[in-house]
Amino acid sequence: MSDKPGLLLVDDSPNEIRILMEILKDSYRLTVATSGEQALEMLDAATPDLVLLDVVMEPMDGYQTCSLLKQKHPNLPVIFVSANTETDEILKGFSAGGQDYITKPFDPEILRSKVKLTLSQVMQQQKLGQEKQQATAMVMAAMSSAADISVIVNFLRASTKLRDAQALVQGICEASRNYGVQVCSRILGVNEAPFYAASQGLVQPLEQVLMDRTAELECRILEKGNRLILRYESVVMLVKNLPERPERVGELRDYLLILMEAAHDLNMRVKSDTSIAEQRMAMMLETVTESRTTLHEIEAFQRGYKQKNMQIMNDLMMDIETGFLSMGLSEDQEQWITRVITSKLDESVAHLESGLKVDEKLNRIIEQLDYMAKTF
Amino acid sequence: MDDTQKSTPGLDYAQALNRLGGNTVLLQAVLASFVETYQSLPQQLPHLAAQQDWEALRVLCHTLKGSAANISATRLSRAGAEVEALIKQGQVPVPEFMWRECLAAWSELEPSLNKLMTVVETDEGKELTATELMVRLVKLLPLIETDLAAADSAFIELRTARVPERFQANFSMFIKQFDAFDLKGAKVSLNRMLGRDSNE
Repeated sequence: MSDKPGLLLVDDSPNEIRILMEILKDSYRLTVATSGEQALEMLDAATPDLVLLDVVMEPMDGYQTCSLLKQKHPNLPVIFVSANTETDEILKGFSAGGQDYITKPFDPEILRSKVKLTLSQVMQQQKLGQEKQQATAMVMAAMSSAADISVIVNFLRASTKLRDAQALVQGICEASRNYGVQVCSRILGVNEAPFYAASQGLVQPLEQVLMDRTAELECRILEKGNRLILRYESVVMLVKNLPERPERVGELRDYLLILMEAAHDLNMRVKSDTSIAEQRMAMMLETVTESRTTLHEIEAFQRGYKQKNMQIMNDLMMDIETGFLSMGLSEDQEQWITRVITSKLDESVAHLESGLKVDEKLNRIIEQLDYMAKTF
Repeated sequence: MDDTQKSTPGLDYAQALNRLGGNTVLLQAVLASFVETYQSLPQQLPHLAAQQDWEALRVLCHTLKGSAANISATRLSRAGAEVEALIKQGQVPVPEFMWRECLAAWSELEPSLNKLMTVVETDEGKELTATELMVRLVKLLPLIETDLAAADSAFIELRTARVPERFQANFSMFIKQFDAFDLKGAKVSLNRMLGRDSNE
């Protein structure tokens, strides 16, 4: 088939068709019909780019033909060809869907230029239509992208409240659900302990096994039918219902990997925080234990010290009372000395007793630290 | 353009030829077809007027207006246009002098057309041998599908030719069909002359 634009010439007068053909034959691929009915039958096979349509034909006139033609081929341009020059006839042509109107007798130059102009306008319209479609697609894509990105932003915003791996894996599944997909996910927390969650329902055993085995995969993306397995460091995700459109699958893959990257970073932070907290706790427990031992030692020392002091005081009293026999002191003198010494002994004992009360206070502090450490 | 063509009352031959890009063969064919289509005009017009079939008269005059204009038969075209306009305005019955102007214009034009036809017949009524005819038909057949304008040009050159007796019936049928752009029928007749089934 020729590359020239195609014209369908419709006229019940072969003479008129021949004149049109002669004028247009060099620039166009021509087909002809001698009635409106024949033209409508030929349209699908002839695939013209423009129709030149006579108005006065029997039994179907050009206006009727045009109306029927436009029902099936709304974008196919029609130029009416007629000896009628009255305004109401021209208006009829436009209301039937015609693009232009050429009156007989044909001026070859005018005919050629009108055909050329109409075809170029149609091409322009088609081009504009395509551009509009492309622009609409771009806007829709941009709107869709904005919605997709907002899922990630919302996840990041909410993630500041997620304090452990279980909450994190649950959060990533819920965020993924906003993309219209069913997913399950696994995150390796502290000490490589696995945490699982699903966007809907529970994680099935087979899904768990699949996610556990992703470490064996060399690639981080594995697509099988409408299923997709993604791996990003400590995070694994299994998508169970990929959409059919390949472009959408590509977009989803990118967005889910971003979510997973964010979840992994958060997981690392949670793991790090947990590790520091555990170290601090261990240090605290060690300090408590050491403090308790030290306090027990202090207590034992103080009790021994008190006992030793009491022993020394008792020995002193015994020595003084024995000394009284050879000193020849009066009874009053002996009583005075005994009273002074006894008084000072009592003060000394009281002082030692107060030391033991401090021990009790320290013991209570140790018990409180112990409780706090166990319940942290 | 020869003297015969210069002197054609009722028809501006030069303008008509110019409209067809100087293609004299095609113009002759168009004129021949015009004569054939309207040769019964002197009977049709009075009959329709007498029958007061104004709608049929309007359609006839409308067609006459356009067709005559395209061969630059200005007087006939204008006369047809005036009758058509009157009927469209509802001014019926149409005064006799108006449709008679159509006849007068035709009477002026017809001798000119006949004179031109005589020239055509003299110049182009070439006699073809069976072989020449076969060669032309074989060339023409595929053009109907691939390049209708070229097929029509080949047909116009062929339509006035005289062919051997045994092809005459099918050839006449073929000419009539192609003339009216009954291309399906024309291909059947053409294949028949070539001794083929129409599906080949």
